[in-house]
Amino acid sequence: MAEGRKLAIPILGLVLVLTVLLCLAVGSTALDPVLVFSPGSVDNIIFLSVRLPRVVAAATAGMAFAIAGVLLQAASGNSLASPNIIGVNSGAGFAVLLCMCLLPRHFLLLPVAAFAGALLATGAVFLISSLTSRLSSASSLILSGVAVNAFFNALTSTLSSLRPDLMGSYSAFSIGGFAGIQTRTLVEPVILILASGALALSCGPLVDVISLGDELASSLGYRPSRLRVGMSALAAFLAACAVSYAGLLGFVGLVTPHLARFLTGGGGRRTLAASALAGAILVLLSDLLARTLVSPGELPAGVFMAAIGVPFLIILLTRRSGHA
Amino acid sequence: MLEVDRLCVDVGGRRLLDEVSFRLEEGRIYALIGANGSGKTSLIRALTSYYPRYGGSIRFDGKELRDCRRKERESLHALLPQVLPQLDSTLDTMLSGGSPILGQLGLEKLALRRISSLSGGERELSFLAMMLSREARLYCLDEAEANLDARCRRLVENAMRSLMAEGKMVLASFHDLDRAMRLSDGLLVMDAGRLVFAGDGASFASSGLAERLFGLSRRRFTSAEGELVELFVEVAGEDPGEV
Repeated sequence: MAEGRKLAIPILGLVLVLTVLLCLAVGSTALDPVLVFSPGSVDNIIFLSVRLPRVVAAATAGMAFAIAGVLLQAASGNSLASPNIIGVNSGAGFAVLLCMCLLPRHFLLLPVAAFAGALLATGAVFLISSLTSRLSSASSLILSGVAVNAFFNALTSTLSSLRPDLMGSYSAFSIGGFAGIQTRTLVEPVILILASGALALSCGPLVDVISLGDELASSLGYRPSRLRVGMSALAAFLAACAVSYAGLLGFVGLVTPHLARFLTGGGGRRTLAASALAGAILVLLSDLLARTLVSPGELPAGVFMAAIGVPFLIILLTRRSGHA
Repeated sequence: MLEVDRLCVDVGGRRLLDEVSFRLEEGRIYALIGANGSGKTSLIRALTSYYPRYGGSIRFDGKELRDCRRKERESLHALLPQVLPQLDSTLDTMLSGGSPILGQLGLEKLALRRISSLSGGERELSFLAMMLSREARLYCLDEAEANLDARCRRLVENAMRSLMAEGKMVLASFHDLDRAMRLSDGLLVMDAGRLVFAGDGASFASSGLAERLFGLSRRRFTSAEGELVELFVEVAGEDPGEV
């Protein structure tokens, strides 16, 4: 068992490499392996401008949401926490709809609006949390998230009532997916995700510390409230970067931390690494199904993420109750 | 040596600890007793850096706790809290591949199971193992024995005695006064956030505080083997007779 857990991360790494190769090879258009590397060919253009950006987008978004989930579950002490609870989804959703209303011809601004909305809502959650509890406790963070989510969801409902014509475009964003992803909107968020993901991995021992609860974390010399705010802010940033181009793919942040802990036996750094790999695999496979199952049409990747993730979560919860 | 002088802690406008002063010495076990809500957990939390702000002073060998850096604080105190977190990691992971302490506490077979999936007593021992694996000056156990069977209580008792033999300070809170008297070298008694007694067991037994605070009085009994024992009994309760 212990040996198997030590091999979990290398095996996940290998599965990710195979999944990336599969996702690059399979699509609605069959690509010739020789022509793909022939500059100027149609296959080469499709590969570089459509398939490769899409695979990079799916893998990095999966990593970002998964790492954010681990950080938030540790910081909130709640295994049901995911980027949704700190307002990332509701803030980004409202900002995107607002941008569609006010600047309907500036579609390139939508990722920026999503990013700004996610950070704004997260900032509001932290502000309320710090006002309601000097210690920024785990429960005050979750309750503040509930309040801010309700507020932004109400604003989104109001806007959608006023402009029902925008709901078609908005629902694609709210379900999440990678259709029409473009390299130019991808570069900055992917770089930021890789950088902040590396920072999160270096914070692995701190995830262990905050998972011990406030009393034990304090006895180890740390200030739990500072750790909690720092980790949640990092999680919000990662999720906001991913939301800016992937939409509201919330489920991966909930399910992959559980899968990672089950496979590795826990431990901050190992859970973060395994979760990042598992998140990338889950989103890549979901996107592969989304773009191939009804080819040449396409379904939202978020639908398949739930289809793959829900059974996983049920199996894990069943095993857990069996152990308990 | 730990010196606490006029320690005050206020949280949310409520005074949890009020002018608490005492001194702990190395190589001794101190029992912290008091009714529910008397401030035992608050005192242990204060000594283990839970409260970033406090009035008065907490000095380890003359060095003020609030002035210590993180690494220094980590080396000063270790804690077994009253309420244990739901930890999804295994003991093997938390102790980086195991420790001789696992064998001492009979936890080898549980090392690869998630701590959150263990029974209450097993979790208590798991967190005890994690506390014992740390090098610190003061070890605080907050009602560690509350949910343990007799075998596990002996393991906790042995652990406290080993720490004492290594020259560590041990502060453990109890509800069982007889056990507190038997295991400790000194008693600290809390009432409504104030320290109302600090001294040895015999002085406490004759102080009348047990009757006033807990409704208990110290009585002598003859055991079946003819041995004279002293136990706390409820003042208004039935005489337990021969033990």
